[in-house]
Amino acid sequence: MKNALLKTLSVTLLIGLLLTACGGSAPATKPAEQPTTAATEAPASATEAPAATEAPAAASGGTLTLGVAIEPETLDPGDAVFVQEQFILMNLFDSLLSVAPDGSLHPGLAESWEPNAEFSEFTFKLRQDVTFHDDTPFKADAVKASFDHIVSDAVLESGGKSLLQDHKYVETVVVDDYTVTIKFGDSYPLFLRDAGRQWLGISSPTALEKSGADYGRNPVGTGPFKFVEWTAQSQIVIERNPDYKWGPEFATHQGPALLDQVVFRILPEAATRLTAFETGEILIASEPPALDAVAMVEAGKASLQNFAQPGIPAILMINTTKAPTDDINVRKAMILAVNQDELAKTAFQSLGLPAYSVVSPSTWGYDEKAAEMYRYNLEEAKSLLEKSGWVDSNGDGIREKNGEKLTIDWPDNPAWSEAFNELLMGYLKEAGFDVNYRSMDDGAAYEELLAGNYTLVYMYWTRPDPSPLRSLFHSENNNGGGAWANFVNADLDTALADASTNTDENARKADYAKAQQVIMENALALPMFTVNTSYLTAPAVQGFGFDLEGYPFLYDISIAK
Amino acid sequence: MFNYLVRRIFTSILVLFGVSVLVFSVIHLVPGDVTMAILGRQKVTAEKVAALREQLGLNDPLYVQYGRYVSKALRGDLGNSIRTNQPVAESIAGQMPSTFALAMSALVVALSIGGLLGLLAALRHGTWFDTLIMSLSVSGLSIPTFWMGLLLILLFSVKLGMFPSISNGSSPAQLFLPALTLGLPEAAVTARMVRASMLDVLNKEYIITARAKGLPQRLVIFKHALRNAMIPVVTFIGLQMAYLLGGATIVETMFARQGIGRLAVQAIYNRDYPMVQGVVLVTAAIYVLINTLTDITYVMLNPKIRLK
Repeated sequence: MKNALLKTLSVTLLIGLLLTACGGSAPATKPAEQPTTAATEAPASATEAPAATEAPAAASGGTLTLGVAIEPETLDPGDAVFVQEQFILMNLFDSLLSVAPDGSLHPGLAESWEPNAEFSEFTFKLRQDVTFHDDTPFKADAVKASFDHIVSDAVLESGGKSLLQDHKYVETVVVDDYTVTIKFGDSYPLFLRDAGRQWLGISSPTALEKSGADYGRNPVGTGPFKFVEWTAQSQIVIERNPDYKWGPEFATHQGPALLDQVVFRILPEAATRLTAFETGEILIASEPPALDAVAMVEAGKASLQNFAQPGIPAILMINTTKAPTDDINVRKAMILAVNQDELAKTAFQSLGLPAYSVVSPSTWGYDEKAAEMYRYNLEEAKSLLEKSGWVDSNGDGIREKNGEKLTIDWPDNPAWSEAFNELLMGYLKEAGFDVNYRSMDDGAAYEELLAGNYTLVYMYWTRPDPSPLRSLFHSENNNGGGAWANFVNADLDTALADASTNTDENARKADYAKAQQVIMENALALPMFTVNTSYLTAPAVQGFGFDLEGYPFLYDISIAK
Repeated sequence: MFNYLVRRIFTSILVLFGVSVLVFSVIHLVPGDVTMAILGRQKVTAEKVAALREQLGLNDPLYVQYGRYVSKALRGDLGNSIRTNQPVAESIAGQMPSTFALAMSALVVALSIGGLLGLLAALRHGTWFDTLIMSLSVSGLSIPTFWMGLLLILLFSVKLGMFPSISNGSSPAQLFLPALTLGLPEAAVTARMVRASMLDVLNKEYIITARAKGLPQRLVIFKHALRNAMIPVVTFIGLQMAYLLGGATIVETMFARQGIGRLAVQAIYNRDYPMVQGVVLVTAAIYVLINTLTDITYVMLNPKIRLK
């Protein structure tokens, strides 16, 4: 009897224990949330002002630990492609120019510069007081070695390589120790701005030669921080360069960086980053889950730094050579059926802004007229479809025409679209579309695109200007080259070709405006939202600001004691 | 004995061969092309793809690719990662100590907690204590690792601030939560195992004889019963060790620890063929090695098996 009672008691106790455990404030988790690499070109400059916080503390020092989602593949600027690499590279390397958050050009490793009339040759006068982290003096040969390294066969495919090759890089000529001329076969009006990007950061020629194929794991630059160590799947550590006195003139301080050391902790799981932020193990968390981030900010435990990226916002390119979207009415109906306002609010907690055009509003050359053509209007979407003969004859909610369903084929890697794809498909279904979402990985999806088996292609591309429009919409890139709409229009091609070579800024702007209008008039893409980068920062983090590409500008950051 | 050894080692090699063929084919049969994963979506030209396929040797027939792979693997060369261009063998060797430390400390957790509770439950067989231990072990077995880890993080990191929620390296403080997360379900299994084995032995006639002789309880338990009860448990440890190495994947991901489990997950996401092949092959080799050693130990401990 006694035994039985005790048995019952112990079981009750156990259940109680379990219930208490379950009822606690368990953190919201999304197992296996972050995949590895972003299929995007890394972000570039913005016309956004930096998100200035408090003035930086006079006191310097301390270690800043950041949680980053993705481990870099290399720290060789010339070999780098991905966003996560740029964020670390910008601290290790300087480029010829510095570009301020407002997009203006400032001296970097070059004191002055002079393009020729065609903007195909650029001569730089270099600073004479700069040394690399390995004590190699910085001279013109370093610029030549770095640029030659980028276009060499050692680099298979990289951001820097495509920048240079797209404009037919010819050579770098060492004029004297502190003068260098970089020559292109094409006119390259945007080169000066690109020369400020991390991808074209200058490496120590000694280190390039010494490390060879291992240079990506032993980077040596002139930046405000020196590389210390990279422990695979764990962390990357960099420390202050005490000799640094060539920082950009637009920074809030001069001289060495304020922090002693920065640790980039690699935390692929969003839930893990959030927990580590809560416990104070990291002071900055990149890409926090929107809901939790907003909750933490409301609880006063953190600030949220949010940056709307310029360039091509998140869009779905529409195949104009495949039925049913070879019909302009169907394409227009798709755009009208989607409520971008609601989409941005629901999927991204208003951290993302709605996009109405193929260029995001913070971009140089953004055209307002193109962005005013479509606003959510379900009735108009329906009537356009009816006008083209698409009606729901059997009452299943999906429209048909000649026995064919109004089917949209979308092969996609859900890693890129999981935040919004169901919502989006809901809008389209409302208008009578049958969306065939086919979930697969990047490689498989790409094969489907090359085979032409798609209606929609998800895309975003961060750049300070609308230049990716040429890769995405010029007919020279049709049928597998990246212009997935496969649309042919002489006006569009002329505008895009002229915009990338014309040296007159206003003419280029007019070209891009024309291009945006033609693209939207012909409904070649369904705009959705602007892509954002966001960071949660602890109250102790001071001086947080974004550089023009949307990376935290660590040089000016300090930790309050 | 010698014959048995030869046979056992031969079957191990056969298993490894099977694993290598399986891993090699599966990753080549799934849809999608690795060159696309490398080049990304932008401005990929057919020439670039063709050049890359040639460079990676992907145009050769599968059996040629496999033969090349095996002959290199036997010389310790598992190829280079497609993503980072680092040697695969080097990457695995770099991650191994961390996984090994985790698995070992989880084993310590499993054996100490599980062994002690199992022993106590056996000695108090049929009492409320026995029931409590056994109920706890059922829940220990039923709670998924990721949930257990979350609860432990919530308690020890977020509420009490005693241990880090992200773990790095092999110091006791860094290993505590991951080892507990991985080891507790194993402790539950161990407790049941020890209890059953101990109960079995305690009912043996030689124990009754020992008791009848008037030996003190302490001597009966530790000298006569426990020793014999441990034989099945010892062989069980080998199997558990292999299981812990595999189970480390989830724990490594949760705590953002270094380790081959996480390496495998990343490699799969990246379609990093050589890395996936390398990790699976090495893990399988360790599994087979541990199993073989366990079998051999068992034969040494229990001569009855040898004769069969």
